[in-house]
Amino acid sequence: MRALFLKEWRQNYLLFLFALIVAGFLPGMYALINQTWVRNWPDQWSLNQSVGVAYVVVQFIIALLAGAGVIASETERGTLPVLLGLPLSRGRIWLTKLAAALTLALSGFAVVMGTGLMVLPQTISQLGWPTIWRDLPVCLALAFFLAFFWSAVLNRTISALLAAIVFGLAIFVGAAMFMLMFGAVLLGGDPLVDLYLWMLSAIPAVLLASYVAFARGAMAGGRRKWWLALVTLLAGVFVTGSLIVEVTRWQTRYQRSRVEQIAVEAATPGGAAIGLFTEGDLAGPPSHVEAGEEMRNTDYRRQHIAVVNLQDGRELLVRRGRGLVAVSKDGKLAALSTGWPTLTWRTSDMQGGDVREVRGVEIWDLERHQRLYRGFPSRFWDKARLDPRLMEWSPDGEWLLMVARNAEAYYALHSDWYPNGPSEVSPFRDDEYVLLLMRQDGSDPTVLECHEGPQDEGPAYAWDLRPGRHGVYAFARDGSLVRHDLDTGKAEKMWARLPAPAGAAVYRLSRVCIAPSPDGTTVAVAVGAYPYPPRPQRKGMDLLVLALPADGTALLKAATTPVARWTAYINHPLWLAWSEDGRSLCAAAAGGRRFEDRRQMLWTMRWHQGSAAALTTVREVYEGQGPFPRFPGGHVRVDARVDGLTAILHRHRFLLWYGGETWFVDESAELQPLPSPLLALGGGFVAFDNQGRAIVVLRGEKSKLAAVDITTGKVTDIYP
Amino acid sequence: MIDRIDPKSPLPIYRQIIDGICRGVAAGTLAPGEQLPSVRELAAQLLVNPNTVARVYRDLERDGLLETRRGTGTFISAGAEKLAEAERKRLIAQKLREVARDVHAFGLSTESALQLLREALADQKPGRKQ
Amino acid sequence: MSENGYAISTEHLTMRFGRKYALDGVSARIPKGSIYGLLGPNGAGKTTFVRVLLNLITPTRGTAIVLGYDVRKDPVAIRRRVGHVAALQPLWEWMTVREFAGLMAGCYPRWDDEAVKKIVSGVGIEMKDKLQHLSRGQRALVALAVAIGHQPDLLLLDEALTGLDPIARREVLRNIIDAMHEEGRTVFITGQDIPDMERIIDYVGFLVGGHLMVESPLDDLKARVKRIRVEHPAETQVPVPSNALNVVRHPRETAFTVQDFSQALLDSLAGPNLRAEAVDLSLEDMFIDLAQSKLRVEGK
Repeated sequence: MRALFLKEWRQNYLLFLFALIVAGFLPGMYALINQTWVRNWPDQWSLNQSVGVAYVVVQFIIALLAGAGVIASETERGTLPVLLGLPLSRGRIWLTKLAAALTLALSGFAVVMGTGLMVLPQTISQLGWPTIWRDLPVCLALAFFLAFFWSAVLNRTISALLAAIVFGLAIFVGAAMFMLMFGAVLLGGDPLVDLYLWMLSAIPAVLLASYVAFARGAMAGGRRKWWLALVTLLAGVFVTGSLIVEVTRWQTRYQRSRVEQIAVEAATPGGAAIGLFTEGDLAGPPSHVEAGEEMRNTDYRRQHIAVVNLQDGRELLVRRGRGLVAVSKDGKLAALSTGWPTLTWRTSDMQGGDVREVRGVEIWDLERHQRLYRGFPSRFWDKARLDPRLMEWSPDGEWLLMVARNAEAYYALHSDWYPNGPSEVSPFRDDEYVLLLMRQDGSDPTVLECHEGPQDEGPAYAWDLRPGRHGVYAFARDGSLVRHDLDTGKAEKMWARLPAPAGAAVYRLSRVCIAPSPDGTTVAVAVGAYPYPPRPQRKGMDLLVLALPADGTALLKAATTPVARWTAYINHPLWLAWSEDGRSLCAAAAGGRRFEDRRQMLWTMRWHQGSAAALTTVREVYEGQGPFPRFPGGHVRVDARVDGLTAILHRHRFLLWYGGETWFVDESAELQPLPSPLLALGGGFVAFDNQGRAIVVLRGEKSKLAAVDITTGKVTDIYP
Repeated sequence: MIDRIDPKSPLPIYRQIIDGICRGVAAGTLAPGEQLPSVRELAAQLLVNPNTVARVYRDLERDGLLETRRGTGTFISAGAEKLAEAERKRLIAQKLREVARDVHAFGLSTESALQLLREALADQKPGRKQ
Repeated sequence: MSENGYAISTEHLTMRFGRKYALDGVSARIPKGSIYGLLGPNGAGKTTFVRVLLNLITPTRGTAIVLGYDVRKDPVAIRRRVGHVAALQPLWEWMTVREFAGLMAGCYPRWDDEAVKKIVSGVGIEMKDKLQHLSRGQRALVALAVAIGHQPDLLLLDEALTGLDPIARREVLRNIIDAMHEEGRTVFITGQDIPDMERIIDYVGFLVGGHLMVESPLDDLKARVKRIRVEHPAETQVPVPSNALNVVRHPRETAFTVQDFSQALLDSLAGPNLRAEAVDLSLEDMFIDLAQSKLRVEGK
């Protein structure tokens, strides 16, 4: 056997020579380009990237050449009878040839990559380290074993080479397409298996098939060989693929004990149920697309969405993946959508981050534990599937609302690598969005165009909260406020567009927020605008309150341009929230110029109905330094950030939470520190349950949900 | 001595080798006591199956033409001379039978045939051209 | 390891490729220590037969025992003791003679380097010569030398003489004969070069269309199969045996080949105005007569 092994090496030593030559050639070429033609090359990064790609290509060439000639060359030369006439079993011969070709390829890799890593590390690191140590070796191995397989089946080295290339690409493309197409179908707890695992599963099958083709098929006639090889291949892929799927499924099954971090997506008032986003190393609200490597590289298979009953901590529903949850107000219905990082380019705004696609929506009746709908209406798919956020049920639970980026507009706007901004003049500062609405059972899918600002603003849509009505407030593309009536299908304009101040080419809406009062009869709208292209002069900011009489017509009841400081300071998102009795309105924002004296502000105002409806400012509640504020207002919005500003309106009392120091404050009184037990908490507020306890996310090594009695300070663990 | 055989001849190789050796003895080119090549050498020389050569040697030894001395080889036996005479006659008789067949086939008379034979013999005398 | 004195014995060996039968019920017996020649035209199945013996292909039906081992069960044990030269003697051209011999030496339990050197140097080949620079005949010698080099009990030489120049043919024959000095060594040779093969074989088999038509010791065959020539007056119908081959009738002469010659048969044909004689046939003539009759029977 050793003699045969050495013969194989001697026969193919040219490959090793090729590797040596390339190993020396690439650095030389790099140095040459660097020295002399650097002017013609866009920048160092492109050169590094190109040479990095060249290294990858060379590796594939080595892998393919090493594998393609192993058996086919013997058939070509006619030496197969001589080879098989040796006193070695076919299995031994196959193994010896495989070992020789494999060691040849590996030594070629070592030579090329070794010199590359030593001499030109900056080019190879361009590829990214998970790729280098995981994806690339798997793909190279597959290329090699495919070439080896085809070498055993076909009669010429060239044919084997071409077949391996075609087959390899087909597997790659086929697997990718399979996952893209059936990703929505796999929603519902089924595993999404990484591409590289599929390719890995092909390897044992390919190897076995090559053995069968050689041991049983060599010299037996073409048809028999093909039949044997392909049957073994298909059976093998099926078996190993299923095995890998099962193992992955088992590995990533949801275990309550393994929950490390909790970020809450949604909660019902009264605390009936809650949506969680539990995941290993991410801290932060998942509905916000975060910049940074952690989000992109986090293993989405470790992420789960769960709907948990806050009373007893029982899981009502668990799904794998990232996504959104919306629970209806009475806690009866839940909607889940899981997203998936798409292979699209970055967004134009500086925050970057990957864009997610909706894979599908599930709607459940939690009380009866019955699934009402699963899928994603095709109407939605055409129009909007990117970057889903902010799911919300209508007050009576009849309709489900989702906001998503307008896919057509998105692709139109970001059609080149370095977009300079929207190419068409639009009143919107950012991309366009659409509202996707459907009923409990997924029927009547409706797409409404609207505006929604960048992620940190308050919602630029809202349900009409009046009982018996099905309507959605939204900003239309032309900047006016519109109410879409879902029963009649009509859209009524509530308020026309802000006129452009003199001298400005066009106004863009910014810092918009719509907040209906709890009984729905009053809607507070904050509208800001700034000129585009940006000008030094400041923008306008209006806070409007609209009262809606029973006949549905809108009447502008009061408008107030807030204190001068608004205009001066507000260039960051604004949130509005009503108190339960509809008499107090709260606004929170950050002010100050960028990077300088940033402040967070909180105002409460009284809304006086009646003939002389007016907003009077009661108090500037808080002013302080610090990072971005989030003001959930009302009952629902959740902030999972420890160091954010959180203010909760609860019967005119504030629970102000900021950076570990917390104050429980009465609107009229001075700021006071909280009772000491609460001081230790430092978590994120979620909701008040119907027993008056605050449900919070406690941070520590592992997150957990706890209920805190505000008056006594008693803490009860709920979940996990 | 026989140094080649004719593969195309209808005569079996065995026959050709025997004829060759006998012809040699008859003509005097193989003297009694002279050593013959070993079975293997002769087979390699003639490019024939050694078993055939072995059979030839065996049969000729049985007939008394050859004798084998253990460890030394195969030799023309002392009594070969006597056998040679009979062998000569046999060979000539064999050839003449073939001639006779052709004479009959061509319809030549016995006298013409004998005349031709006499002429042929006369040509064989030393000094005459072949 | 031989129970019955046969180096190779097959029983109803059948090899089917798709619809074509390359071997059809071949039952052959190759005695130990013999030189057995399997003759047949192109496509008769000779190479297939050799390949089955080495288990390069698995027979569809039937059994084959080589040196006491079943080809299906112990092929590796067989190959260890069998020297094989494939048709057209394919080699790895990039090797030198020494490298090729080295590869073989490394794979077999026994090896005689001197024997190999002796064979190749007999035609002026040096161990350092590259195989691709050798002539066709020299390559054939190298292949043969290497096959003999591991001291096999059986040599399977497929088309050993085909396509070689006369000098190379001689050398191959000579080396085969030399190799026979080993007691009990058997040579199985296939080919179409009947005159040359006839010199050295002592058993013969005719393979035509996958069928083993004849298998016999050569001498027996030559004694049994002869051509009878009968001279007779015109218009006479000479009784020809039913199994006679290649019957040629002229006005005054009838000739035919018989497969079971006996003096009695010749005598029975004699008569007034009838002259019958028997002529020995060369193996080639025999083969042509037998093969043609079979092909005619099969309607080709």
